[in-house]
Amino acid sequence: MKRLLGVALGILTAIGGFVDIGDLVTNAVVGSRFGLSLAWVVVIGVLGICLFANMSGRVAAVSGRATFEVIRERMGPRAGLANLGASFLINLMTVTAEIGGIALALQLASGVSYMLWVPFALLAVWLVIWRVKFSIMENVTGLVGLSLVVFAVALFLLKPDWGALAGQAFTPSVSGEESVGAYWYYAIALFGAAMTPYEVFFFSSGAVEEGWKVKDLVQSRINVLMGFPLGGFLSIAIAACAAVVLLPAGISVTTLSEVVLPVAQAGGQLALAVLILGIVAATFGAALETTLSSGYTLAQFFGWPWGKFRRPAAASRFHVAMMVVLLAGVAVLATGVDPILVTEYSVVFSAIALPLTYLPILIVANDPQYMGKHVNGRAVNVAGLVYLVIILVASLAAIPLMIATGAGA
Amino acid sequence: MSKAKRIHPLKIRPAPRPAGLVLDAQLHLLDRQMLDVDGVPVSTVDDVELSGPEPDERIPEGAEAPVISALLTGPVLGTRIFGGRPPSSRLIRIPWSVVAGVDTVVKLGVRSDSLDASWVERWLRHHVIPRIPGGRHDPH
Amino acid sequence: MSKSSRSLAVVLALLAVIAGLVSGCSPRPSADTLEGPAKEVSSAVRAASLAVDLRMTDSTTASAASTAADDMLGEVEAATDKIHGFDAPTQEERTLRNDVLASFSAISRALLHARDVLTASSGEPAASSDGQARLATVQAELRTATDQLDSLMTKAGIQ
Repeated sequence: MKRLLGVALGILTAIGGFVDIGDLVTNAVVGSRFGLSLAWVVVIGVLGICLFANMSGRVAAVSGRATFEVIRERMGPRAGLANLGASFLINLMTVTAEIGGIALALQLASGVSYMLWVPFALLAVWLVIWRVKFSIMENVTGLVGLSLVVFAVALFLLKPDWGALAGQAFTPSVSGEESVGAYWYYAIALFGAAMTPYEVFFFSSGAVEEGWKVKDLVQSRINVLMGFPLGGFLSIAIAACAAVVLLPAGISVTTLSEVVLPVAQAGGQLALAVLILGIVAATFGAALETTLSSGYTLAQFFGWPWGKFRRPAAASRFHVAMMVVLLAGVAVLATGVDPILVTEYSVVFSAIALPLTYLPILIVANDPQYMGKHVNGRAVNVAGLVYLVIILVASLAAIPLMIATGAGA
Repeated sequence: MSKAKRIHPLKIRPAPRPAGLVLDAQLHLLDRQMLDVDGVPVSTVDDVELSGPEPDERIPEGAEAPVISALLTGPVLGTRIFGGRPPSSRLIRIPWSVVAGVDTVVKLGVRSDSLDASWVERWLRHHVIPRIPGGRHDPH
Repeated sequence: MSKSSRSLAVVLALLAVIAGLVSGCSPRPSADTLEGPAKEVSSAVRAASLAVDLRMTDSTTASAASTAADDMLGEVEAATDKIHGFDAPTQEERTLRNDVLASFSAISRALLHARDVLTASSGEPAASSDGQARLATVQAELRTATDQLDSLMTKAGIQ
């Protein structure tokens, strides 16, 4: 019974933890402009993150090594450092976006400008990183984040024309008002939002934090294979809500206050309250994950002691680095830059950097020195290679498309 | 160096195969994580120091083969990425004598706190972390 | 590695050149150049209308609705700034630009009123006839401004 509870808890946290500000905003933007015609990208992205999160979790459990240690060992110092630079910058952008997301959600709840909420969000995130145990942090934010399910409930309450939605999803086409370039630009953004590299750093480091062994692999596989697809389903529900309410009304999403309109229309103030709670929890959880990820990547590259299972005094560089990252993120927000804009760029840059993260994982998962008899099977390798090609194409196409479409305008 | 008589590489006799485990410095040492005797990460192997003649120095006939005298860490990493050579006094050394084992990680037989390599960690621990409440307790 | 850093440099240089080109010459008002800002404003004013609607049926809170109106005001300001930067050498272009700007400022005013009424609606039950009447007034103002922009866009050949 206890075991079953553990499995349920793992799945629920994975669902709640899957959606962050990037998924929220990108899916709503896409839904309000392209309907469900990009839903297929979410499906591809979710399958990809399942594949690679599972792989990195296995590497961590078998070898006890987190992803970034392995990246440096396998790629050498130069490519490793370039990788660190890129990953770290994207992580910083994502931290900034998530803290901005917390503040924007609190503005929706209170009517007080988000700028005043930023210091509060910073302090709360840092306190949790400084003082709260890893497992509690994960479970609480994941479970509360689950209230984003209200998007799916709202979709039912809106009584949409299911046939039309399915039609958009299964026979994708670009509507007359939007350009083909923008369509593909947002396809890459959605892919980047679903496969963000920090999830892998966090997942593999989390496996070390929680001391996974080979026998825990089954549990982790269930979490990933059930939780992430359900998280992807939530993403599609976000897009569908926007497609049902905002697209016909001629509203294309540019702010978080527009993202919540369909849910308020469907479920009133109660649904709105649940939704805002969910957004705060999801962005808060993601802010924790991205901040930790930036600490993990730095510490693992340079070989510092790291991890929340150590007292801050026993991982001093790790903790100081995370404080610096949080302050840097807040400094960016203090310039008055629109957090939603930061979010939109962060998911596209994530897509650009994807090969840097996923190629080394694939290589190490095949290395018997690390993995012993737990190296990748043939089917996993074929899938991994197919995804590597997709990732590479998305990464190479991102910048030209960004220029050609004016960042999807 | 250029004046010295060059020996054609093909004329050098191959080294005799040593007994025991063969380590490839590039593959098994460089960029590996070092853990201390308690399993606490110390640093990464950023470079290795070999005993014996300096580069560009003539090697006398019958000289001892070079051995690894220390694992290096710290700013020396920059020289591996951008080139150049740091002055010997600036190197942070972990003497080879404290290395207890080489696996996917390099295990040391001493405590991290006894090594120069972790001075930044100790400095932050003693000068920054104590100023913030709660840093010395386990998280709950 | 050195190869990838070189290609990165090339990409950055290219980006800089394009940024220079884009910012160097300011566009002139035409159906093409006005399309972006006009659509942004049209979307913003509709979102605010929806927020007011939802507030009238008590589906949303005063804070969420006024935040939406405030955000949309920001959108309209950004679009207005873009059009202010346009060169309009001919009389015809000047008229078009001024018409669009007039329409944007009408929308701004309506959004401002909407925001104030929505913010004020927090204390009272939304069903009170007084509150409903005020919301209905700003809704009507938003709708008029929307229609005005729509007809202007049709006239200018946008869409």
